[in-house]
Amino acid sequence: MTLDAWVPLLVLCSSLVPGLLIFGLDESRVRLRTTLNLAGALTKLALVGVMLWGVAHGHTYEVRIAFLPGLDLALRAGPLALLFLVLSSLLWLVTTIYAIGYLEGSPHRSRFFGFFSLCVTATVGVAMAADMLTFLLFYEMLTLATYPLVVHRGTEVARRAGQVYLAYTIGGGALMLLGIVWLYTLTGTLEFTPRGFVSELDPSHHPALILIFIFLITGLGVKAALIPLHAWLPMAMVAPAPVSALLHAVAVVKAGAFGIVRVVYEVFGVEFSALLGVTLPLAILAAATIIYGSLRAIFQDDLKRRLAFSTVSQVSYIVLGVAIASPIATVGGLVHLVHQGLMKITLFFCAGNLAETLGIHKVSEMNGVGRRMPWTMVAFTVAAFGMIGAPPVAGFITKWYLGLGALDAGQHWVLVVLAASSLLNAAYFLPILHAAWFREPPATWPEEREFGRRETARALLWPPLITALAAVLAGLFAAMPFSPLEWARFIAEQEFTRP
Amino acid sequence: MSWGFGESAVLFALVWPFVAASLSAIRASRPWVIELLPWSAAPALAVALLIPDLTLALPETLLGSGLALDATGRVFLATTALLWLVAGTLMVGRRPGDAWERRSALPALLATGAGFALALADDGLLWFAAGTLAGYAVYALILQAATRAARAAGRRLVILLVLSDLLLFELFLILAHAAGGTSFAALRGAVAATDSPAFVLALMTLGFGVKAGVLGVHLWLLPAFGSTTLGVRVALIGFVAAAGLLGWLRLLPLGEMAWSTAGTALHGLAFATAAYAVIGGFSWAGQRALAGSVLMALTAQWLWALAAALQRPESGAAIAALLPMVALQSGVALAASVLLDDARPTRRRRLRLAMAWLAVVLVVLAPLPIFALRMDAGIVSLAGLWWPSIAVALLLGRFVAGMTRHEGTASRSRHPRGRLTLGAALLVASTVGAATSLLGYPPTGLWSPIQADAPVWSLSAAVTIAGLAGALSIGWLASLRSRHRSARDSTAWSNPLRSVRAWMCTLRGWVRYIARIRLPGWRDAILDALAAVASSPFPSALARHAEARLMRWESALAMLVLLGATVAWLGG
Repeated sequence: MTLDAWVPLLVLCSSLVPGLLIFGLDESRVRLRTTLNLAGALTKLALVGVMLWGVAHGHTYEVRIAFLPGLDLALRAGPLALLFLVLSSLLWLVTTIYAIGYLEGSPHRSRFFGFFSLCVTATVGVAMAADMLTFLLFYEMLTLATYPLVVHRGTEVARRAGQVYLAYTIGGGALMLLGIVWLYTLTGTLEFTPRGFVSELDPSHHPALILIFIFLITGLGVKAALIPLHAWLPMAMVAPAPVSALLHAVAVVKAGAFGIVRVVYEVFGVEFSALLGVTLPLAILAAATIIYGSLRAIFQDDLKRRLAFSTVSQVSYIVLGVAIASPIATVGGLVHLVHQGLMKITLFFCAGNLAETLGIHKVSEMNGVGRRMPWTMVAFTVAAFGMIGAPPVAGFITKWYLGLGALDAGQHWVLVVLAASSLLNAAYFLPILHAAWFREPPATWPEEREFGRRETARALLWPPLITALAAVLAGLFAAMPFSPLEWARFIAEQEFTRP
Repeated sequence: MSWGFGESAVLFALVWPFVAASLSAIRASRPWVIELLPWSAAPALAVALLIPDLTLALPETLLGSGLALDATGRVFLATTALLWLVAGTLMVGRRPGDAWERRSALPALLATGAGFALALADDGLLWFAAGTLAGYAVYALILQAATRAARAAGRRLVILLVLSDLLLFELFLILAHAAGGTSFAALRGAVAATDSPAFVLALMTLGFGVKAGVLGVHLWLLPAFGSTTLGVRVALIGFVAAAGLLGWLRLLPLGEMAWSTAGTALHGLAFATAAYAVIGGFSWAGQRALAGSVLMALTAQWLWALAAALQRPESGAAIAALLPMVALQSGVALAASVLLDDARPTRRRRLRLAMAWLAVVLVVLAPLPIFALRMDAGIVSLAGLWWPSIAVALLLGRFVAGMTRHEGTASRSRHPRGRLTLGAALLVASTVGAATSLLGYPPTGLWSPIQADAPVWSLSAAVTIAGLAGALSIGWLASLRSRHRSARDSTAWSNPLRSVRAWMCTLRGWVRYIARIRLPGWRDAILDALAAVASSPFPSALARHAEARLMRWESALAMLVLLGATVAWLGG
């Protein structure tokens, strides 16, 4: 095995090994656990950086391990995988720092960080999977690794949320398995291939292919929270803030959206998908999810539930970009994988800060909070404006490319959806900002904790500030080399122009 | 990438307010940030005055942006910088540790930087980004006044800003798709070649109109002027110019094509906006909000000029070249009159009034070169009269008459007497602008070789001056409420001047009557209700009801089916 083949395995192990070691640690070994967490996250980031450089210069990082007769466990770090890998490894580091501060003094931290690391391992596996089977294995591992995190608090509500989460995701996984097996019987391969591998099939198989597409998208749509399969996501908000951040920005929801990208581009091929007539219904489903999620978000008083419905809406931008089936819209969809992650994780960190520092859980309790926690609310404001699509924050770049792509594809109705979505986003974010910055604060906060001259603990404050800054930089310097946008352009170029 | 001194200076002038704003992140440097606020615009003013024309490519910013210090951008940069120098000075120097001052520093610096970016942007995206930032920063500044009226104005502004930005987003998107780029030159080409000009014009008018105070989307402007502090009012003039008026100038292909339908539409809109400004100014607007009415009338004047340029492409380029100086001269002079109106009682009362009248003359005569150009082209008709300019003159007449009746407001500033000095400085700047414009000098950096073109000034403009002076007098006379009584008491026919006053007061009464039957209260009621719902973080009863409906599984499916059917129907 060459050195290039080892790198994907090392990336996997950089979170797997610390995770397994942390499981065995006593609760009191705080320093060692923190060291293992941070060392793993930094190592992963460094390795991903190496792969990013290599892939940009034409290297291929691939490893195959025999799994079943005729089927390998295959990992490959191509441009698309790298987009997701960079996002997840970067945000894992930030989330780890945040989680260390958030869970300080709370019980079951070894269990929490153990599953946390396994969760990231599974996400990295999903990103690097070179075929559908490997993808499915890591996808299901992700489900199992996140369940203990969702029920971490151990309350009745948490357990109920966990059951719903499991029911939805395992059901989705079963549908995916069905689709994958059927696909394998038709094609004899499951290898992700640029422009897909099913287009060569006889036209008599097209009805079967449409059904397979529906099975796969339904299975993936559960994690991507497409309507009407979204109900688990707002319920899972009972989890601690770092888990919410992980679910919404790094791992679970993103894995679903990323899977849809893989299926459309590298299983069916975008042109063949359009030929089958499945892209327009997918676009409509994404558009309906965008509007529905935003409408639901407006009426939530619970801050995390409002953010959860916002995720339901925002993740569908990725699906919409893919389903519009034009090179420019593809760039918009792919880049939103990163942009939404940066903005949404900021919002969840801020929600966590408000809950941990002042005991604020509801939007109606946020009057004047900007004066008490200015930095947290600055980060929140930046991310909220990004979600609305205000320039120069990253969300604007996404909407610009989606709009241009829709015009390019002659699907003008998408512009109406984008405008309606921005309007609704403004309707559920701007009142929060108005209340936080311009209303008078109450005499006392629900459960205030003192942090001296600082508004909150450093470990809680720096992560949202860093991710908010990253969201601004990703938008303001979108055309820089190695920016998310440039990388998405690189991927779209390969998908649409490679012979 | 190698930048010379000029390029570095332009970039520094643009970035400097943002650097100052970012210093507020450091606790120890926050007092310095407040002290830096008045000076944040100084580099930009120096750049506008000294640096020759240049362009600066920023290929890695946004989707590949650029800056340009051209004739138009230079004048708007100078206008914005001048107004922010004054606004910044007025915003600081209050009591040490003043909460208002502390909270206003950050949005003021962001608005300053965004204003400079608006003037310097060479492409649609950077301009749009700067306009958005400036809009929300101004919203924050308005709300810092913390009065009920200011909050209402802020809420109206934020609702309209969201709509404006959505419309502008769609506008830039459609134009960029057609043009294949986002530079202003490409976007202008796309406007000229568009298949749906009415749609593009509607997007443009509503999008820019919110920030410029065009009738129908002006609802924030008068309350904002009526309820905010002096510094914010001065800053608002710069915001309206850079984020509103400049947009049309950058995107409309003036002088390149005849677009008579657009010209007619803008003419109508300008007339309606001016008429509304007069009705508002003469009936319900207080003295502070009256400056907002004047600004609205100036916007109408701007639209009128754009309409003329679109209808007569042979004079379009000349009008486009003259318009920035009109904005500088009238905007800066209006800011001076706002300052003088608010000045504290002093022994220099006569000087204050003399300065106010000079400001009025500068505002009223600002579009004189354009009048001359039009009249020399032989375009004189009743419809071709410059009604918005007459509205400006009428309103300014009333404004100065109001100034004579009150003695200003007490200042919380540590430097109250500075207002006269600042007003004088603005008047000097406006006078220089007027001289430059009337003598035919192109706006350029002082380090560039300057050569005056033949001035467009013509004797025929004297007719216009007489007309505007008449309107000014009418506005003044119609506002003298106390003298009206004496005029009515005496024999009106025995004194022609009193007779005129009586007529003017009757006219004012009619205007008030029109204002009462007018625009009924339902519009304001709807807007305020909308604002109240939008600003409430959780409108509980409505929320519970809507949530109960939406959370049903079938609601999601119904929405999906409805959207699918709509798309299928649209797509045939």
